Amino acid sequence: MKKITMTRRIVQVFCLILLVYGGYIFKEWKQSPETEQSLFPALKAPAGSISITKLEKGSILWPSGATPVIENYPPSLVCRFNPKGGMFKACILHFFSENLTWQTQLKYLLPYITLFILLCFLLGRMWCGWVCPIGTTGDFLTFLRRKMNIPVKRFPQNFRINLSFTGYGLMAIALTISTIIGMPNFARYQCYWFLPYCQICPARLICPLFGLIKPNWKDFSTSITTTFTILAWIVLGLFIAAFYFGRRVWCHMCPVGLINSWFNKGAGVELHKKSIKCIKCGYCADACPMGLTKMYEMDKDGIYNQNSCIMCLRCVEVCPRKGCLSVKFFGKGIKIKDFFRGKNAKKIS
Amino acid sequence: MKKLLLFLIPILYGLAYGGEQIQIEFEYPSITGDFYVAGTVFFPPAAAPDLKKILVMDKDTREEIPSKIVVQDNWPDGSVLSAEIVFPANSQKKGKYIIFYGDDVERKKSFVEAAVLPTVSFIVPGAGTTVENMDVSVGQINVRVDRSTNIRYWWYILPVFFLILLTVLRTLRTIRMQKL
Repeated sequence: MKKITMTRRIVQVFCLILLVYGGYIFKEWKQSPETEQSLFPALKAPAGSISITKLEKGSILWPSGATPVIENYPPSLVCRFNPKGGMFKACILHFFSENLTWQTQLKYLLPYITLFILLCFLLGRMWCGWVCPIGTTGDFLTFLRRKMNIPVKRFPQNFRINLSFTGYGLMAIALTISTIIGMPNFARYQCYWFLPYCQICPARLICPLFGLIKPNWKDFSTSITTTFTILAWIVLGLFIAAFYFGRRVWCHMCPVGLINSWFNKGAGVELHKKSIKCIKCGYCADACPMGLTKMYEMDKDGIYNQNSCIMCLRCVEVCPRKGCLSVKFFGKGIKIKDFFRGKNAKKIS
Repeated sequence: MKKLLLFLIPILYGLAYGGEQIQIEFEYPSITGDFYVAGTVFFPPAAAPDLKKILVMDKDTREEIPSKIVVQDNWPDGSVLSAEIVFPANSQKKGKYIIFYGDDVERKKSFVEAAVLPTVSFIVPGAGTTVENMDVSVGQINVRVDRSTNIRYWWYILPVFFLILLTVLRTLRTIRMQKL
Protein backbone atom coordinates (compact mmCIF):
# COMPACT_ATOMS: atom_id res chain seq x y z
CA MET A 1 0.00 0.00 0.00
CA LYS A 2 1.20 3.49 -0.75
CA LYS A 3 2.40 5.50 2.20
CA ILE A 4 -0.12 8.34 2.06
CA THR A 5 -2.96 5.89 1.67
CA MET A 6 -1.64 3.87 4.59
CA THR A 7 -1.45 7.00 6.75
CA ARG A 8 -4.95 7.96 5.66
CA ARG A 9 -6.29 4.54 6.54
CA ILE A 10 -4.74 4.77 10.00
CA VAL A 11 -6.25 8.23 10.51
CA GLN A 12 -9.63 7.02 9.25
CA VAL A 13 -9.68 4.07 11.62
CA PHE A 14 -8.53 6.24 14.51
CA CYS A 15 -11.22 8.84 13.78
CA LEU A 16 -13.85 6.16 13.40
CA ILE A 17 -12.98 4.76 16.81
CA LEU A 18 -12.89 8.25 18.29
CA LEU A 19 -16.25 9.20 16.81
CA VAL A 20 -17.87 5.91 17.71
CA TYR A 21 -16.52 5.48 21.20
CA GLY A 22 -15.29 8.97 21.98
CA GLY A 23 -18.44 9.86 23.82
CA TYR A 24 -17.72 7.17 26.36
CA ILE A 25 -14.20 8.40 26.92
CA PHE A 26 -15.31 11.91 27.72
CA LYS A 27 -18.53 10.93 29.39
CA GLU A 28 -18.83 11.95 32.99
CA TRP A 29 -18.18 8.86 35.00
CA LYS A 30 -20.84 9.62 37.53
CA GLN A 31 -23.48 9.96 34.88
CA SER A 32 -25.23 6.78 35.84
CA PRO A 33 -24.54 3.77 38.05
CA GLU A 34 -23.72 1.64 35.02
CA THR A 35 -20.93 3.93 33.89
CA GLU A 36 -19.20 4.67 37.14
CA GLN A 37 -16.65 1.91 37.10
CA SER A 38 -15.25 1.52 33.66
CA LEU A 39 -13.94 3.64 30.85
CA PHE A 40 -15.94 1.68 28.29
CA PRO A 41 -18.84 0.67 30.45
CA ALA A 42 -21.54 -0.36 28.05
CA LEU A 43 -21.27 -0.75 24.33
CA LYS A 44 -24.96 -1.44 24.10
CA ALA A 45 -27.69 0.99 24.92
CA PRO A 46 -28.92 0.47 28.47
CA ALA A 47 -32.11 -1.54 28.62
CA GLY A 48 -35.29 0.43 28.72
CA SER A 49 -33.52 3.66 27.95
CA ILE A 50 -35.12 4.23 24.60
CA SER A 51 -38.45 5.57 23.55
CA ILE A 52 -38.47 7.87 26.48
CA THR A 53 -41.04 10.09 24.91
CA LYS A 54 -43.49 7.21 24.62
CA LEU A 55 -45.04 8.64 21.51
CA GLU A 56 -47.78 6.58 20.03
CA LYS A 57 -46.92 8.04 16.69
CA GLY A 58 -43.76 9.67 15.58
CA SER A 59 -40.84 9.75 13.23
CA ILE A 60 -38.45 6.87 12.93
CA LEU A 61 -36.08 8.88 15.06
CA TRP A 62 -38.61 8.67 17.88
CA PRO A 63 -40.13 5.27 17.47
CA SER A 64 -43.00 4.01 19.49
CA GLY A 65 -41.21 0.69 19.79
CA ALA A 66 -38.22 -0.17 21.90
CA THR A 67 -35.52 -0.02 19.28
CA PRO A 68 -32.67 2.27 20.16
CA VAL A 69 -32.32 5.16 17.80
CA ILE A 70 -31.38 8.39 19.46
CA GLU A 71 -28.76 8.12 22.10
CA ASN A 72 -26.53 11.08 22.36
CA TYR A 73 -23.58 9.04 23.25
CA PRO A 74 -21.79 7.39 20.46
CA PRO A 75 -21.69 4.62 19.26
CA SER A 76 -25.26 5.22 18.36
CA LEU A 77 -25.10 8.30 16.26
CA VAL A 78 -21.69 9.65 15.45
CA CYS A 79 -23.29 12.65 13.79
CA ARG A 80 -24.15 13.91 17.25
CA PHE A 81 -20.64 13.38 18.56
CA ASN A 82 -20.79 15.27 21.76
CA PRO A 83 -20.47 13.73 25.19
CA LYS A 84 -22.84 16.22 26.73
CA GLY A 85 -25.38 16.34 23.97
CA GLY A 86 -24.77 19.99 23.32
CA MET A 87 -25.18 21.84 20.09
CA PHE A 88 -21.93 21.02 18.35
CA LYS A 89 -22.32 18.12 16.00
CA ALA A 90 -19.95 16.20 13.82
CA CYS A 91 -22.56 16.59 11.10
CA ILE A 92 -23.13 20.20 10.14
CA LEU A 93 -26.44 19.46 8.42
CA HIS A 94 -27.72 17.89 11.62
CA PHE A 95 -26.59 21.00 13.46
CA PHE A 96 -28.42 23.40 11.15
CA SER A 97 -31.56 21.27 10.81
CA GLU A 98 -31.94 20.84 14.53
CA ASN A 99 -31.37 24.47 15.40
CA LEU A 100 -33.65 25.73 12.65
CA THR A 101 -36.42 23.62 14.14
CA TRP A 102 -35.66 24.74 17.64
CA GLN A 103 -35.36 28.32 16.41
CA THR A 104 -32.16 28.74 18.35
CA GLN A 105 -30.95 32.30 18.33
CA LEU A 106 -28.10 32.89 15.93
CA LYS A 107 -25.86 34.30 18.63
CA TYR A 108 -25.77 30.95 20.43
CA LEU A 109 -24.79 29.17 17.24
CA LEU A 110 -22.02 31.56 16.29
CA PRO A 111 -19.23 29.88 18.31
CA TYR A 112 -19.97 26.55 16.62
CA ILE A 113 -20.28 28.10 13.18
CA THR A 114 -16.94 29.84 13.75
CA LEU A 115 -15.29 26.58 14.68
CA PHE A 116 -16.76 24.85 11.64
CA ILE A 117 -15.69 27.61 9.26
CA LEU A 118 -12.23 27.69 10.80
CA LEU A 119 -11.76 23.96 10.27
CA CYS A 120 -13.06 24.21 6.71
CA PHE A 121 -10.84 27.18 6.02
CA LEU A 122 -7.78 25.35 7.28
CA LEU A 123 -8.42 21.89 5.90
CA GLY A 124 -11.02 22.25 3.19
CA ARG A 125 -12.84 19.04 2.53
CA MET A 126 -10.29 16.88 4.31
CA TRP A 127 -13.10 15.76 6.61
CA CYS A 128 -14.51 13.67 3.78
CA GLY A 129 -11.28 11.97 2.84
CA TRP A 130 -9.71 11.49 6.23
CA VAL A 131 -12.35 11.51 8.95
CA CYS A 132 -15.91 10.85 7.77
CA PRO A 133 -17.05 7.46 9.13
CA ILE A 134 -19.37 6.99 6.17
CA GLY A 135 -16.46 7.60 3.83
CA THR A 136 -14.42 5.08 5.77
CA THR A 137 -17.22 2.54 5.45
CA GLY A 138 -17.43 3.27 1.75
CA ASP A 139 -13.69 2.87 1.33
CA PHE A 140 -14.01 -0.53 2.95
CA LEU A 141 -16.67 -1.46 0.39
CA THR A 142 -14.35 -0.27 -2.35
CA PHE A 143 -11.60 -2.42 -0.83
CA LEU A 144 -13.93 -5.43 -0.97
CA ARG A 145 -14.73 -4.72 -4.61
CA ARG A 146 -11.04 -4.56 -5.41
CA LYS A 147 -10.41 -7.83 -3.61
CA MET A 148 -13.18 -9.44 -5.63
CA ASN A 149 -11.64 -8.14 -8.85
CA ILE A 150 -14.78 -6.29 -9.86
CA PRO A 151 -13.81 -3.45 -12.18
CA VAL A 152 -14.57 0.09 -11.03
CA LYS A 153 -17.41 1.83 -12.81
CA ARG A 154 -16.55 5.30 -14.02
CA PHE A 155 -19.37 7.77 -14.18
CA PRO A 156 -19.41 10.67 -16.64
CA GLN A 157 -18.87 14.19 -15.36
CA ASN A 158 -22.46 15.22 -16.09
CA PHE A 159 -23.69 12.43 -13.89
CA ARG A 160 -21.49 13.63 -11.05
CA ILE A 161 -22.70 17.21 -11.49
CA ASN A 162 -26.29 15.99 -11.40
CA LEU A 163 -25.50 14.15 -8.20
CA SER A 164 -24.29 17.41 -6.69
CA PHE A 165 -27.53 19.11 -7.68
CA THR A 166 -29.45 16.24 -6.12
CA GLY A 167 -27.45 16.73 -2.92
CA TYR A 168 -28.17 20.45 -2.89
CA GLY A 169 -31.84 19.71 -3.54
CA LEU A 170 -32.02 17.27 -0.64
CA MET A 171 -30.26 19.75 1.59
CA ALA A 172 -32.63 22.55 0.62
CA ILE A 173 -35.68 20.35 1.23
CA ALA A 174 -34.33 19.20 4.60
CA LEU A 175 -33.55 22.72 5.78
CA THR A 176 -36.89 24.06 4.53
CA ILE A 177 -38.83 21.35 6.35
CA SER A 178 -36.76 21.95 9.48
CA THR A 179 -37.54 25.66 9.31
CA ILE A 180 -41.26 25.15 8.72
CA ILE A 181 -41.75 22.71 11.59
CA GLY A 182 -39.96 25.15 13.83
CA MET A 183 -42.81 27.64 13.36
CA PRO A 184 -45.41 27.52 16.12
CA ASN A 185 -48.26 26.76 13.71
CA PHE A 186 -46.50 23.68 12.42
CA ALA A 187 -44.93 22.50 15.66
CA ARG A 188 -47.33 19.57 15.83
CA TYR A 189 -45.52 18.03 12.85
CA GLN A 190 -42.19 18.00 14.64
CA CYS A 191 -42.58 14.47 15.86
CA TYR A 192 -42.87 13.28 12.25
CA TRP A 193 -40.51 15.53 10.40
CA PHE A 194 -37.76 16.37 12.88
CA LEU A 195 -34.33 16.07 11.21
CA PRO A 196 -35.82 14.96 7.88
CA TYR A 197 -32.52 14.26 6.15
CA CYS A 198 -31.24 12.26 9.13
CA GLN A 199 -34.20 9.95 8.74
CA ILE A 200 -32.96 8.81 5.35
CA CYS A 201 -29.23 9.29 5.92
CA PRO A 202 -27.28 6.04 5.53
CA ALA A 203 -25.23 6.99 8.59
CA ARG A 204 -28.32 6.49 10.74
CA LEU A 205 -28.48 2.86 9.70
CA ILE A 206 -24.76 2.13 9.43
CA CYS A 207 -23.06 3.91 12.31
CA PRO A 208 -24.95 2.25 15.18
CA LEU A 209 -23.65 -1.09 13.91
CA PHE A 210 -20.11 -0.05 14.85
CA GLY A 211 -21.31 0.18 18.42
CA LEU A 212 -23.10 -3.16 18.28
CA ILE A 213 -26.43 -1.39 18.36
CA LYS A 214 -29.27 -2.39 16.11
CA PRO A 215 -30.53 0.67 14.29
CA ASN A 216 -34.21 1.35 13.87
CA TRP A 217 -34.28 -0.02 10.35
CA LYS A 218 -38.03 -0.27 9.95
CA ASP A 219 -41.06 1.49 11.29
CA PHE A 220 -44.35 0.98 9.58
CA SER A 221 -46.50 2.47 12.31
CA THR A 222 -47.62 5.47 10.24
CA SER A 223 -47.61 6.39 6.58
CA ILE A 224 -44.87 8.97 7.17
CA THR A 225 -42.58 6.57 9.01
CA THR A 226 -43.25 3.96 6.34
CA THR A 227 -42.25 6.45 3.65
CA PHE A 228 -39.12 7.42 5.52
CA THR A 229 -38.27 3.77 6.15
CA ILE A 230 -38.53 2.92 2.47
CA LEU A 231 -36.62 6.06 1.46
CA ALA A 232 -33.89 5.16 3.96
CA TRP A 233 -33.59 1.70 2.42
CA ILE A 234 -33.38 3.13 -1.08
CA VAL A 235 -30.73 5.64 -0.03
CA LEU A 236 -28.78 2.92 1.78
CA GLY A 237 -28.94 0.76 -1.34
CA LEU A 238 -27.71 3.65 -3.47
CA PHE A 239 -24.97 4.36 -0.95
CA ILE A 240 -23.70 0.78 -0.99
CA ALA A 241 -23.95 0.55 -4.77
CA ALA A 242 -22.20 3.90 -5.18
CA PHE A 243 -19.23 2.86 -3.08
CA TYR A 244 -19.15 -0.71 -4.28
CA PHE A 245 -19.16 0.03 -7.96
CA GLY A 246 -17.81 3.52 -8.26
CA ARG A 247 -15.51 4.50 -5.40
CA ARG A 248 -16.53 7.85 -3.88
CA VAL A 249 -19.56 8.54 -6.04
CA TRP A 250 -21.73 9.06 -2.97
CA CYS A 251 -19.54 11.93 -1.81
CA HIS A 252 -20.71 13.99 -4.79
CA MET A 253 -24.21 14.20 -3.32
CA CYS A 254 -23.48 14.12 0.41
CA PRO A 255 -24.88 17.41 1.79
CA VAL A 256 -22.16 17.65 4.44
CA GLY A 257 -19.48 17.22 1.80
CA LEU A 258 -21.19 19.81 -0.36
CA ILE A 259 -21.12 22.36 2.45
CA ASN A 260 -17.45 21.57 3.08
CA SER A 261 -16.73 21.89 -0.61
CA TRP A 262 -17.55 25.62 -0.60
CA PHE A 263 -14.28 26.14 1.22
CA ASN A 264 -12.10 23.83 -0.84
CA LYS A 265 -10.69 26.31 -3.32
CA GLY A 266 -9.81 28.77 -0.59
CA ALA A 267 -8.62 26.23 1.95
CA GLY A 268 -5.25 26.29 3.67
CA VAL A 269 -4.42 22.89 2.23
CA GLU A 270 -3.36 23.62 -1.34
CA LEU A 271 -2.63 21.14 -4.07
CA HIS A 272 0.02 22.53 -6.42
CA LYS A 273 1.05 21.49 -9.87
CA LYS A 274 4.24 22.27 -11.75
CA SER A 275 3.13 21.64 -15.27
CA ILE A 276 6.61 21.61 -16.74
CA LYS A 277 7.29 18.40 -14.86
CA CYS A 278 4.05 16.75 -15.96
CA ILE A 279 4.48 13.91 -18.45
CA LYS A 280 0.73 13.49 -18.93
CA CYS A 281 0.83 9.91 -17.71
CA GLY A 282 -2.70 10.25 -16.35
CA TYR A 283 -1.96 8.37 -13.13
CA CYS A 284 -3.41 11.20 -11.05
CA ALA A 285 -6.75 11.32 -12.88
CA ASP A 286 -6.91 7.55 -12.83
CA ALA A 287 -6.30 7.36 -9.09
CA CYS A 288 -8.71 10.11 -8.06
CA PRO A 289 -11.59 8.48 -6.19
CA MET A 290 -13.85 11.42 -7.04
CA GLY A 291 -13.11 11.07 -10.74
CA LEU A 292 -11.61 14.55 -11.06
CA THR A 293 -9.29 15.41 -13.89
CA LYS A 294 -8.27 19.02 -13.28
CA MET A 295 -4.82 18.06 -12.02
CA TYR A 296 -4.26 16.17 -15.25
CA GLU A 297 -5.71 18.77 -17.58
CA MET A 298 -4.13 21.88 -16.08
CA ASP A 299 -1.35 23.12 -18.32
CA LYS A 300 0.05 25.86 -16.14
CA ASP A 301 1.58 26.09 -12.71
CA GLY A 302 -0.73 26.73 -9.84
CA ILE A 303 -3.24 25.41 -7.35
CA TYR A 304 -5.60 22.77 -8.64
CA ASN A 305 -7.94 22.54 -5.63
CA GLN A 306 -11.42 21.66 -6.81
CA ASN A 307 -14.73 21.80 -5.01
CA SER A 308 -15.33 18.07 -5.19
CA CYS A 309 -11.81 17.12 -4.10
CA ILE A 310 -11.80 15.22 -0.81
CA MET A 311 -8.10 15.93 -0.23
CA CYS A 312 -7.16 12.27 -0.06
CA LEU A 313 -3.86 13.19 -1.74
CA ARG A 314 -3.96 10.13 -3.96
CA CYS A 315 -2.93 12.25 -6.94
CA VAL A 316 0.17 13.48 -5.11
CA GLU A 317 0.94 9.96 -4.03
CA VAL A 318 0.73 8.27 -7.39
CA CYS A 319 2.42 11.00 -9.40
CA PRO A 320 5.62 9.48 -10.75
CA ARG A 321 7.34 12.85 -11.28
CA LYS A 322 8.91 14.25 -8.16
CA GLY A 323 7.77 17.83 -7.55
CA CYS A 324 5.06 17.78 -10.21
CA LEU A 325 2.14 17.50 -7.84
CA SER A 326 2.61 18.63 -4.27
CA VAL A 327 0.61 19.58 -1.24
CA LYS A 328 1.21 22.85 0.58
CA PHE A 329 -0.29 24.50 3.60
CA PHE A 330 -0.89 28.19 2.95
CA GLY A 331 1.82 28.10 0.35
CA LYS A 332 4.38 26.44 2.60
CA GLY A 333 5.48 23.15 1.21
CA ILE A 334 4.77 20.03 3.18
CA LYS A 335 7.71 17.83 2.42
CA ILE A 336 6.33 14.56 1.30
CA LYS A 337 9.59 12.78 0.76
CA ASP A 338 10.04 9.31 -0.52
CA PHE A 339 8.59 7.99 2.70
CA PHE A 340 5.19 9.31 1.76
CA ARG A 341 5.47 8.87 -1.94
CA GLY A 342 4.80 5.81 -4.02
CA LYS A 343 7.32 3.49 -5.54
CA ASN A 344 6.96 5.18 -8.91
CA ALA A 345 8.48 8.35 -7.55
CA LYS A 346 11.81 6.63 -7.13
CA LYS A 347 11.72 5.15 -10.58
CA ILE A 348 10.98 8.31 -12.54
CA SER A 349 12.33 11.37 -10.79
CA MET B 1 -62.18 -7.18 57.63
CA LYS B 2 -63.03 -3.66 56.58
CA LYS B 3 -61.10 -2.28 59.55
CA LEU B 4 -58.19 -4.53 58.73
CA LEU B 5 -58.16 -3.24 55.18
CA LEU B 6 -58.39 0.32 56.36
CA PHE B 7 -55.44 -0.42 58.59
CA LEU B 8 -53.40 -2.23 55.97
CA ILE B 9 -53.91 0.09 53.02
CA PRO B 10 -52.07 3.08 54.52
CA ILE B 11 -49.27 0.77 55.65
CA LEU B 12 -48.93 -0.80 52.22
CA TYR B 13 -49.08 2.60 50.66
CA GLY B 14 -46.40 3.74 53.04
CA LEU B 15 -44.25 0.74 52.20
CA ALA B 16 -44.66 1.38 48.50
CA TYR B 17 -43.91 5.05 48.63
CA GLY B 18 -42.35 5.46 51.99
CA GLY B 19 -39.85 8.09 50.99
CA GLU B 20 -39.90 11.80 51.42
CA GLN B 21 -41.31 13.85 48.63
CA ILE B 22 -40.55 17.16 47.01
CA GLN B 23 -43.06 18.95 44.87
CA ILE B 24 -41.70 20.58 41.75
CA GLU B 25 -43.16 23.32 39.64
CA PHE B 26 -42.58 24.40 36.09
CA GLU B 27 -44.44 26.27 33.42
CA TYR B 28 -45.64 24.32 30.43
CA PRO B 29 -44.00 25.69 27.29
CA SER B 30 -45.93 26.95 24.28
CA ILE B 31 -44.62 24.15 22.06
CA THR B 32 -46.80 21.19 21.24
CA GLY B 33 -45.64 17.72 22.10
CA ASP B 34 -42.88 16.30 24.20
CA PHE B 35 -40.20 18.18 26.02
CA TYR B 36 -37.84 17.69 28.90
CA VAL B 37 -38.06 19.15 32.35
CA ALA B 38 -34.78 19.68 34.14
CA GLY B 39 -33.59 21.14 37.39
CA THR B 40 -31.38 20.72 40.40
CA VAL B 41 -32.64 19.44 43.72
CA PHE B 42 -30.88 19.54 47.08
CA PHE B 43 -31.37 16.74 49.57
CA PRO B 44 -30.84 16.61 53.35
CA PRO B 45 -27.90 14.55 54.68
CA ALA B 46 -28.41 10.78 54.54
CA ALA B 47 -31.84 11.21 52.95
CA ALA B 48 -31.02 9.88 49.52
CA PRO B 49 -28.27 7.25 49.85
CA ASP B 50 -27.70 7.00 46.11
CA LEU B 51 -29.11 7.70 42.67
CA LYS B 52 -31.45 4.75 42.70
CA LYS B 53 -33.18 6.07 45.77
CA ILE B 54 -34.57 9.05 43.92
CA LEU B 55 -37.42 8.92 41.46
CA VAL B 56 -39.86 11.18 39.67
CA MET B 57 -43.55 10.39 39.87
CA ASP B 58 -46.79 11.70 38.46
CA LYS B 59 -48.60 13.14 41.43
CA ASP B 60 -52.06 12.07 40.31
CA THR B 61 -51.50 8.68 38.74
CA ARG B 62 -48.62 7.72 41.07
CA GLU B 63 -46.86 6.35 38.03
CA GLU B 64 -43.10 6.53 37.91
CA ILE B 65 -41.70 8.75 35.17
CA PRO B 66 -38.44 7.75 33.45
CA SER B 67 -35.76 10.10 34.64
CA LYS B 68 -32.12 10.89 34.16
CA ILE B 69 -30.48 11.78 37.45
CA VAL B 70 -26.94 13.03 37.72
CA VAL B 71 -25.40 13.50 41.12
CA GLN B 72 -23.62 16.80 41.42
CA ASP B 73 -22.40 16.70 45.01
CA ASN B 74 -22.39 14.30 47.90
CA TRP B 75 -22.57 14.78 51.63
CA PRO B 76 -19.55 13.55 53.61
CA ASP B 77 -21.48 10.36 54.43
CA GLY B 78 -21.78 9.63 50.72
CA SER B 79 -25.46 10.42 50.40
CA VAL B 80 -26.67 12.70 47.67
CA LEU B 81 -26.42 16.42 48.39
CA SER B 82 -27.58 17.74 45.07
CA ALA B 83 -28.64 16.12 41.85
CA GLU B 84 -29.69 17.29 38.44
CA ILE B 85 -32.93 15.64 37.41
CA VAL B 86 -34.28 15.45 33.88
CA PHE B 87 -37.54 13.81 32.89
CA PRO B 88 -39.86 13.90 29.89
CA ALA B 89 -43.24 15.60 29.89
CA ASN B 90 -45.89 16.40 27.35
CA SER B 91 -47.68 19.69 26.88
CA GLN B 92 -50.92 17.92 25.97
CA LYS B 93 -50.93 15.80 29.10
CA LYS B 94 -50.40 18.39 31.76
CA GLY B 95 -49.65 16.75 35.04
CA LYS B 96 -48.03 17.52 38.35
CA TYR B 97 -44.82 15.82 39.26
CA ILE B 98 -43.12 15.03 42.51
CA ILE B 99 -39.72 13.73 43.44
CA PHE B 100 -39.56 10.85 45.88
CA TYR B 101 -36.43 9.95 47.73
CA GLY B 102 -35.39 7.79 50.63
CA ASP B 103 -34.34 4.28 51.58
CA ASP B 104 -37.68 2.78 50.64
CA VAL B 105 -37.65 4.24 47.18
CA GLU B 106 -36.32 2.24 44.27
CA ARG B 107 -36.04 3.89 40.86
CA LYS B 108 -36.88 1.51 38.06
CA LYS B 109 -37.22 3.72 35.01
CA SER B 110 -34.19 5.61 33.91
CA PHE B 111 -32.45 6.88 30.82
CA VAL B 112 -28.98 8.23 30.27
CA GLU B 113 -29.31 10.18 27.04
CA ALA B 114 -28.82 13.89 27.08
CA ALA B 115 -31.79 16.02 26.14
CA VAL B 116 -32.52 16.20 22.44
CA LEU B 117 -35.87 17.89 22.84
CA PRO B 118 -36.57 21.37 24.18
CA THR B 119 -35.96 21.58 27.91
CA VAL B 120 -37.73 23.68 30.53
CA SER B 121 -36.48 24.20 34.05
CA PHE B 122 -38.38 23.30 37.15
CA ILE B 123 -38.11 24.90 40.53
CA VAL B 124 -38.63 23.56 43.98
CA PRO B 125 -41.09 25.80 45.80
CA GLY B 126 -39.50 27.46 48.76
CA ALA B 127 -35.99 27.11 47.49
CA GLY B 128 -34.02 30.22 46.83
CA THR B 129 -34.15 31.04 43.16
CA THR B 130 -33.10 34.66 42.99
CA VAL B 131 -30.54 36.77 44.74
CA GLU B 132 -33.32 38.65 46.51
CA ASN B 133 -33.89 35.59 48.66
CA MET B 134 -30.27 35.19 49.66
CA ASP B 135 -29.30 36.05 53.22
CA VAL B 136 -25.64 36.70 53.83
CA SER B 137 -24.99 36.98 57.53
CA VAL B 138 -21.21 37.05 57.48
CA GLY B 139 -18.52 37.83 55.01
CA GLN B 140 -18.65 39.84 51.86
CA ILE B 141 -20.25 39.08 48.55
CA ASN B 142 -19.10 40.86 45.43
CA VAL B 143 -21.56 41.06 42.61
CA ARG B 144 -20.54 42.22 39.17
CA VAL B 145 -23.40 43.12 36.89
CA ASP B 146 -22.55 42.62 33.25
CA ARG B 147 -25.01 44.46 31.06
CA SER B 148 -23.47 43.28 27.82
CA THR B 149 -23.68 39.51 27.91
CA ASN B 150 -24.59 39.39 24.25
CA ILE B 151 -21.11 40.48 23.32
CA ARG B 152 -19.93 37.08 24.56
CA TYR B 153 -21.62 35.58 21.54
CA TRP B 154 -21.81 38.28 18.93
CA TRP B 155 -18.06 38.91 18.80
CA TYR B 156 -17.80 35.64 16.88
CA ILE B 157 -19.24 37.56 13.91
CA LEU B 158 -15.79 39.08 13.44
CA PRO B 159 -13.82 35.85 12.95
CA VAL B 160 -16.67 34.39 10.88
CA PHE B 161 -16.65 37.42 8.60
CA PHE B 162 -12.85 37.43 8.45
CA LEU B 163 -12.65 33.73 7.62
CA ILE B 164 -15.34 33.96 4.95
CA LEU B 165 -13.63 36.98 3.43
CA LEU B 166 -10.30 35.16 3.35
CA THR B 167 -11.93 32.08 1.85
CA VAL B 168 -13.60 34.14 -0.87
CA LEU B 169 -10.36 35.97 -1.72
CA ARG B 170 -8.36 32.77 -1.81
CA THR B 171 -11.05 31.04 -3.86
CA LEU B 172 -10.99 33.85 -6.41
CA ARG B 173 -7.21 33.56 -6.56
CA THR B 174 -7.43 29.81 -7.15
CA ILE B 175 -10.08 30.25 -9.86
CA ARG B 176 -7.88 32.86 -11.55
CA MET B 177 -4.94 30.45 -11.47
CA GLN B 178 -6.96 27.64 -12.94
CA LYS B 179 -8.29 29.68 -15.87
CA LEU B 180 -6.58 28.54 -18.97
